[in-house]
Amino acid sequence: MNKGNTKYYLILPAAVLLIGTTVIPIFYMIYTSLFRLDPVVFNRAWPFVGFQNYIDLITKDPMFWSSLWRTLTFLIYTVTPQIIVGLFLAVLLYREFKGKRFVQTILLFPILATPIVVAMVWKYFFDFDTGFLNLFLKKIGFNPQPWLSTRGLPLFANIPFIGQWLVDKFNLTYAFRTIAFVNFWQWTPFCFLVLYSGMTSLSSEIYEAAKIDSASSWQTFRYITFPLLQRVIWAVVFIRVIDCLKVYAQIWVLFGNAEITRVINIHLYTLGFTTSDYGMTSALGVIIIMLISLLVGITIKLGGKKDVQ
Amino acid sequence: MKKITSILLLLAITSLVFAAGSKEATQGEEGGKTITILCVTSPETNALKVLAKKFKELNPGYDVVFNEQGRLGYFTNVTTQLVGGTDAFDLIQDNTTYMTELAAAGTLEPWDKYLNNPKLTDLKAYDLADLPIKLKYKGKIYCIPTDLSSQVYYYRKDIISKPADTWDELIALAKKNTGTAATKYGTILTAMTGGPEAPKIFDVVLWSFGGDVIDKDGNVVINSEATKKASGIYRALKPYMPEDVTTYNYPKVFDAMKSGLVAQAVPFWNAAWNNIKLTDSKFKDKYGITLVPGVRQKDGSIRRTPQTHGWGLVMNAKSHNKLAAWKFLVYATSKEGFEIRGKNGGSIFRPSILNDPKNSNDPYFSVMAKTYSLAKMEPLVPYYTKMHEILNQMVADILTTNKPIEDILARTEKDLKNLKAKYE
Repeated sequence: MNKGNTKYYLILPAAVLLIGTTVIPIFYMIYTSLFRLDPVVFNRAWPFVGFQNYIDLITKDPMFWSSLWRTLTFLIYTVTPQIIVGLFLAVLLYREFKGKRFVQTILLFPILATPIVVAMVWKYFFDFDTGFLNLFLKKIGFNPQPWLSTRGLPLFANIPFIGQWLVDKFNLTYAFRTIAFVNFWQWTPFCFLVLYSGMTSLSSEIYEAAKIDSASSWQTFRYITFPLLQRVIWAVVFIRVIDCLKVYAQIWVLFGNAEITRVINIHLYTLGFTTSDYGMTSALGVIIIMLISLLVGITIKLGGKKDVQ
Repeated sequence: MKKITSILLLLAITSLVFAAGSKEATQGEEGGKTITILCVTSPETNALKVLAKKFKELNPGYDVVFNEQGRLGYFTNVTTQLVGGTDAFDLIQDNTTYMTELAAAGTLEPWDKYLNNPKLTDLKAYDLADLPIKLKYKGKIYCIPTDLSSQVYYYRKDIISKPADTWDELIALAKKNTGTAATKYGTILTAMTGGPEAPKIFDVVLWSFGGDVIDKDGNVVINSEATKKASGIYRALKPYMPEDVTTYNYPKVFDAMKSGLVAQAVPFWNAAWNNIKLTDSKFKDKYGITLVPGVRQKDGSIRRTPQTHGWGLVMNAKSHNKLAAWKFLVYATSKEGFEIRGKNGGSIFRPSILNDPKNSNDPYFSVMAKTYSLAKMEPLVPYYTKMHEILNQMVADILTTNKPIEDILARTEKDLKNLKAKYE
């Protein structure tokens, strides 16, 4: 065996696995997206339709644009607060105090649970009539809230003239907020964990220097912690963006594939496994890959510029 | 060289082992006497198992093997298995809802040649006329259901003395019984969109106004006065139902009945009658059962239009044991088969049994006899599931938005026409 080739032999098993389970299926998906493909024609010659599946998705599928837009709003409603609160917790717990380890451990519990189980537990919590949350609200004198309903959030819905428009366009409903909350509850600790780890890797000397210069807590955060952490923050954003684009289990458990809360992945499942339109499903799969690549590219591009001098 | 020979030998032995173990010996249509059934975990399957036991006693040498799977993803699995060309199952339990697409795909065996062969079927004893529902595609029978689901009207006997005959009366009763000491909600229906339930329930109201989704000539007729009226009923009922009614599927409506939260559940599935009796709910004996409401006609009669779909066994076109499978199918849908399954959790729809005087003590039998005589199925089109996607969105828009009904129906009509054009 040529020693120079050893490295190639060593990566061969992983490469074969990757090509077999990822690259080939992607090319096959692109191929099948060019045919009309459903159970009726599956065992016959598949009619070649070119880009018609893509055109139908974009121009005729009533759920395509709405589920795509809902995915993007989900991304904004979940990633933004997760990063802000995660950062807040990281700064808060960076200080030494009694019981710090205990608080850190408690905070990490949600990450350990399976998303599907988390969603099921919250579903019972949010039930209008029998849910713990509403029973508790009633106990302390508040009105129960329709957490799982598609009613617009009063804060927005009650705005004169544009309230309903805002609710419809930006998914400002109880149901969608509940979905975002469940995701927020489970994944904010992850943001905290990574940001906290990032903070512990920062040089302590710079903080000591700030202390000597009598910098306030806010100044220390604004001019030292935040700039130095930007790389880590973008890494967290990157991971969370990918993860939120993949969201499926939580929404499925809470609302199934109901149209009003359907994101693009659930629409993909519905096309593929409920309506068995495999050609359209492949086309949607290709679009989703392109979308994810685009969003991830933007995130990397933005994050890459954040070198701290 | 020695190493290569050893590896090749090992590969050959492994392949042989796999080849031998992968499939039972092919037996042709005559086949063997072991019938393999792919089925879903359900009360209907439990009833089928009891039936299979009796079948084996009556037919020594035959065996029935149940390959049972959970409900989640079951229909997806059925479609992918059949379309993929499996021969691992002889019979497959499926919902009649999905059968047309599978028949059109050529994955199901038509029953006609078995049914019309006197050597295989004693048609007189079988009494085909006593089986009102037969699933046909292009003139051929693909299934006679073992169980039928339809909708009835459940109401709390302790608070409602006279159930509604019309939708308007239902609205009035719902209003009267919302937020009272006895119940929280005036009425409830299954409105969770995304699955088959919401469109089927909407059909019950729509048909009673004389409307339809697709007419008998195959035209899209959703954008009609009848649909506007049916949509109006939905919107009028909305204030008296739970606010998150679009999250209510069968289990959730059933739970609401069990916990006494609702005064009426309508249109709701007939399965709930027997199911609630098996619970420890303190309300289980407080519910009455009657026909779904409808629309009063000029002659004073009420047009009530329950929808029905069935659960049944279909024969895999790739089965190697078709004759044995047929033997079991005939027994499962015979009068004796219905009686055995009916006593063990299955639903009975043979009129001869429903109208039998010995069952007159239970109101369920007479209500179901009448319901099945009125009920009809949705259009059996190969784009059925896709049609439901569009109808689900329509129901969601009616219940969760303030969009004008005219706009919702115009869009639904356009989407349905686009869909239909794809299959022409």
